[in-house]
Amino acid sequence: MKRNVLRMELKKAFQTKMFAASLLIMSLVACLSAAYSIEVYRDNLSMLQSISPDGNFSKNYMLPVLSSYSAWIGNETRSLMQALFYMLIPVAAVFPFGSSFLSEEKSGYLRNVAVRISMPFYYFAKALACFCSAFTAVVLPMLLNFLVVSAVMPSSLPHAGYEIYYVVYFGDFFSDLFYSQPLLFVVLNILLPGLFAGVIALLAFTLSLKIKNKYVILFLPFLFFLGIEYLASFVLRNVDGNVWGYEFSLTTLLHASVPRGDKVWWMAAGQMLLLLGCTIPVLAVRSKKNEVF
Amino acid sequence: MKFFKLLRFDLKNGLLRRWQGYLILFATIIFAYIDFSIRIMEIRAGGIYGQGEVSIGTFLFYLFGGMEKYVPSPANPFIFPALWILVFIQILFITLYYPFDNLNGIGKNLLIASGRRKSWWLSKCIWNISSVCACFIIIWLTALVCTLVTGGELSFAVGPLAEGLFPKALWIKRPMDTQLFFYLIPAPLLVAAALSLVQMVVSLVIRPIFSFLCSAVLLGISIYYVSPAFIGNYAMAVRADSIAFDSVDGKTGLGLCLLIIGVSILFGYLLFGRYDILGKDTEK
Repeated sequence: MKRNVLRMELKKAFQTKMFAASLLIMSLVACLSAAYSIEVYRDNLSMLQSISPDGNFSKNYMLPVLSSYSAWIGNETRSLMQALFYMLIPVAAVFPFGSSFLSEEKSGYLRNVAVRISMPFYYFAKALACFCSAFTAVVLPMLLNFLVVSAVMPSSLPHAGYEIYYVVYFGDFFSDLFYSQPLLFVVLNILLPGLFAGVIALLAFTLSLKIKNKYVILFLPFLFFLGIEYLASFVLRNVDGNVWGYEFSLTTLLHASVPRGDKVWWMAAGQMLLLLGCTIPVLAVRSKKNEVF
Repeated sequence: MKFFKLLRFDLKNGLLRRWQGYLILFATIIFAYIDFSIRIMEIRAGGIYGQGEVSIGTFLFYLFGGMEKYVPSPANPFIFPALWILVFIQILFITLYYPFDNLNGIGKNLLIASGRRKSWWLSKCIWNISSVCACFIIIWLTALVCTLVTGGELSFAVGPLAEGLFPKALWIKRPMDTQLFFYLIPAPLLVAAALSLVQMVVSLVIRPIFSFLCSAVLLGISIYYVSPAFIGNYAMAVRADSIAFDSVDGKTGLGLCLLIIGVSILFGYLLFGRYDILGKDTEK
């Protein structure tokens, strides 16, 4: 029975129109970002060919900079779409299944479930489905972007001498991997936003226990993280760098190449733990005290 | 008579009883003023732009300034101007869901009782514009009180310090030497009202959540591209044609906003005439 509930929740999460819409919107944004990177690459390439048709350069034209590792959405910093993608992560995370609990509570479905299975397990299955759908809605478009960019551009190893062009500085988390194992760097920078998306979906699930307005549940995380982005820009501009120079806005922290504050691993880990701490205990307690009748 | 009853109901339930959204907007403006005051202190300390006075106009220039034209380069990553987008997104969120909440609940009965779809739609349009106006009244009053408390001038002249707020802008004329009243007061209001009405009309075709998403994306596009086609440009004082090199024409903006407002009301009325109020549950 438990396995059936788990399977059903996962099936529901991945078969909603909202999941399809989320995936479609994020994939479109990711592909447009890839198109921008490819266009810039082709412009650079044609410029280089016009300078030296035989491929012999008398000057350094910084060829390692023209790499898929610096042009995929996680390292590309100049297009509108990369900024939009990271801004929309909270929306893409919550859309697929974030308000599902509220809908089931309103429709009376929850009461039917309550007489058939233990509520803690139902909560667990719902949380897992929320997490997985949000994770997929963010990770797949990023993966698609990297594959499209890699299909056109060379995946040359980034050269540490050009760090100002990659905007991945020493001290930023995973930066040593960028210059030694760039593929691993890309994988980690795809997984990290996916994990955060999953946790944001859990946050929406937790909110839906208290807030009974679907629109508020769907957009509160988005407005919250937009507010945090403003707060981060305020703090990093006004507080002395010796006192506090760490980036804490997820929108910027998750992007590997946006230089505003120092990107340290413990800030990402701390925020992850904070978000989990705000959601898992609440869900655990509520699942045992849930009164559906 | 029925129309006025509907309107009174909408203003009471859609505006007065939804005070939480306005409270958050108020808090945002207070915080923005603190941010602004610190920026001004830094600019004064730098000494490049002099030691001029701060006015309510200077703060509104900061709040609705937006962003200078983005010039792509490796050293200049594109980041959204968080304050500008936060203010507009909040306003658009405040006006997002009431009409459709209403239509899924008591509004359906009211619509049937009133017997006229026209009244219902016009009432919602007036409610929508009133909500946007309420947001701006909160912004203006908060700005006024903060300026008075901090000893600033009650004037819409932006002053020389405004230049320091947007150091990357290419000015054709210094902001302090021109009248920016249109870009500080009517333009942001008109743009927000036009976007909010378009959002309500689009919600008749697609779900409100997607129409809100469209509004957010449109604001993002407006920031990235300096173009008269993207309405958000007119709500950015730093892109005023009287001061900035990369700018949009204010008169075109005024005309475009009024046109969008008029067309939205009319088009929404036509769409709502055919809207299936029983078969569509926007909550799903």
